[in-house]
Amino acid sequence: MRRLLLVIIALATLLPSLAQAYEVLVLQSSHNVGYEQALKGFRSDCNASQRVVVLSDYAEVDVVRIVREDRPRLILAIGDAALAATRRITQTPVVAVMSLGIGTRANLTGITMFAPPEKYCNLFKQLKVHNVGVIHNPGKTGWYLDKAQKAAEKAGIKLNVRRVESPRETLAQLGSLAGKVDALWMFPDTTAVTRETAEAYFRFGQHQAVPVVSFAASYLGLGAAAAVDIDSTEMGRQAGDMANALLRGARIDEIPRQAPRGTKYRINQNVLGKLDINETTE
Amino acid sequence: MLPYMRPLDFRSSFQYRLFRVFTLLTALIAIVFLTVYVTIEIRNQRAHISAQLHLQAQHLAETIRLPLYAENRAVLQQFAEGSVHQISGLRGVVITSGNGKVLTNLQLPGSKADVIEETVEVRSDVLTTSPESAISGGTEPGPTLIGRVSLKRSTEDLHLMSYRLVAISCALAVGFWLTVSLICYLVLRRVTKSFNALMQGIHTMQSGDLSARINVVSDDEPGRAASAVNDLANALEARTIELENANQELEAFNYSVSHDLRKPLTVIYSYCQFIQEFCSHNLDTQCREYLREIGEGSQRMNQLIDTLLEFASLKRSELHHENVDLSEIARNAAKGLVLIEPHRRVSLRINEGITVKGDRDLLQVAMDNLLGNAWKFTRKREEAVIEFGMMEDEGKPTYYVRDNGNGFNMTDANKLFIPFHRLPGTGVDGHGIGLATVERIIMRHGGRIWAEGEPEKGATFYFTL
Repeated sequence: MRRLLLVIIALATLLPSLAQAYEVLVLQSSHNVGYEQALKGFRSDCNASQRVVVLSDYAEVDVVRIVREDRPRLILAIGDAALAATRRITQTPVVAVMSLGIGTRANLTGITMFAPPEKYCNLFKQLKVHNVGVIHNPGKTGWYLDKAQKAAEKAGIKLNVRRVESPRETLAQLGSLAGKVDALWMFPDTTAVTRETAEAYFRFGQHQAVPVVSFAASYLGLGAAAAVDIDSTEMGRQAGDMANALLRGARIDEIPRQAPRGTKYRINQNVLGKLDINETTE
Repeated sequence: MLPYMRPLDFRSSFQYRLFRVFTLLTALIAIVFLTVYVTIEIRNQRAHISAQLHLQAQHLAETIRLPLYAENRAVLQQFAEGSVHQISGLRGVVITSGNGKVLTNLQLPGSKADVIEETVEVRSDVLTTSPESAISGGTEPGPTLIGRVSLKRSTEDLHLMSYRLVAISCALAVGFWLTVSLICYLVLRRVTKSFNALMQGIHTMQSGDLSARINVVSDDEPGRAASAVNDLANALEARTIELENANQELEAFNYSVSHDLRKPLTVIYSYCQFIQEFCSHNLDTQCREYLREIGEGSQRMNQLIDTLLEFASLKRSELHHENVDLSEIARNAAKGLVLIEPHRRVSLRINEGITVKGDRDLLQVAMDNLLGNAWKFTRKREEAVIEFGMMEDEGKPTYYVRDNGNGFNMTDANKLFIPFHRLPGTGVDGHGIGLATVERIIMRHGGRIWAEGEPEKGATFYFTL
């Protein structure tokens, strides 16, 4: 009798959890194309069971409760909103992709949106520019600037750096670069580049007749001369590899955040033509 | 003169009335269209200027997006001042941040009474995306509000434009009206040509020229009416000639009979006188009385013949028009009546200075008859009143003889002027030819006569010349 009672209790508690059991909780910020591509790439490399929650489909999502009840082994956060939703998750490892704000947390790793600076420096060399202006917020992209400085030094490029603490300062700092640079490097810095100030970069490039090199191909249509675009699908695959390693038992502190593997140059020939710059090879 | 026989006044002519209706209607239509056009045009101009100002504000908003986001007051002030040269009639530029803080408030001198104000919102560029959206390939929820730009513009140039528009429109409307009126006049003149010919012909006939005929200028309704009137005039002329001949024969017969009757009457009267003179002593009293009555009867018949001859001569005699003082004639006639019956108490009120143009002798006869008539029919009154005067009737001088005598019933008014017809119960002697004579004299002068009266209250005879 006692055994029967134990069996009933075990079934009552385990059966529902067995029905919902999965290994990876995928938190996707929205249905944006880039996010969908990243998820596609992730799935192509990681065969673990998944539950996908698209945050934009709900008014409010209690991620902590989901994690407590479902107990996934890993969380894949796609996009900044998804990453922000995992802020209160401290035990479950989080792999973040397609996010600009991957900071330093004990349970957090992922693929940054910062392409290797060498890629940019290589592009600047092809554009035959030597003085490159950069505006950034040290609190957000200071680590990346350090890398960029080293890469630029190797490539014989001088970076004119301007620091901003708020988006409104961007315009003034841009003005201070006038006549001092022959290219502008647009960092993926959410303080230096906002929806309101992005236009100012391209105006600067137009007025100063210097190329603006951006981090996303979507800016080419607004006046950027070139961009080092990141392949979202490849980034998903890269995250899939990371997840596989974690699911195999690797500790998260053993897997540091990585730069994206798949990057590609995008060129706006019309802008380059207007700036009298010869075509570059991708 | 009857109303329809009055000479046709241009103002009452058919052509003038039609022309007046057309021109007034055209003027009314022109005024209505002018008012509607000017109102719509002014509204459109105002809307156009508002739209233009809105576009200029939008342009300024596009231009200042970045300095407005940076809240750079100096640059915003420069943009605002630059707008003064680009936008005519600018009165003020106000630039505020998204939270309503005024960053630039440029106010220019000039009237602020009637200004057009346009405010546009400055929003982030629709095409520009944030880094997150740029990376994810997503779309932004919508442009964010950065601030507002408000432009104020004077409407002085709009007023000038409106005045010019009104002036040009009025000139065009007047030109249109004059042109249409001229065309109307020409068309009406052509259309009413046959009608005018008809009216002119009728008027000529009315004025007495029965030999005149209407010139038939068209085959339309007035033309056919003209032909019909001509046919009637021909028939009337023939009938008139027949009547004139018959009248002449009748008058000749009347004169002849009157004249021939006078001769045996004179013989009868002479023999009566002879018998009374030389043989009365052989007659008894009754015979002498019979003889006296024969004499008096022949005398009355002689007077009747005289009256008949005089009445007949009225139509034959020629009229000699001259200025006649009717007051004087009336005064003389009254004097004669007073001399006949000096014992009567009659108040004769004769207005002075009434002069007319006519035949003195005939008017003398007419006034004698009218005043004599009044004298006879006031015999029963102890205090008789006879008045002669003049008044205005429908703008024409009308003369009257009024008395407070026996009067008459208005149902008999038309019988007063019938020759030898006497109203029953008058109790006054006479041949019944007096008023008929007056009527004939008045009609020969182109006038008319009528009477008004009431039994036992008096009568008034009116006449025009």
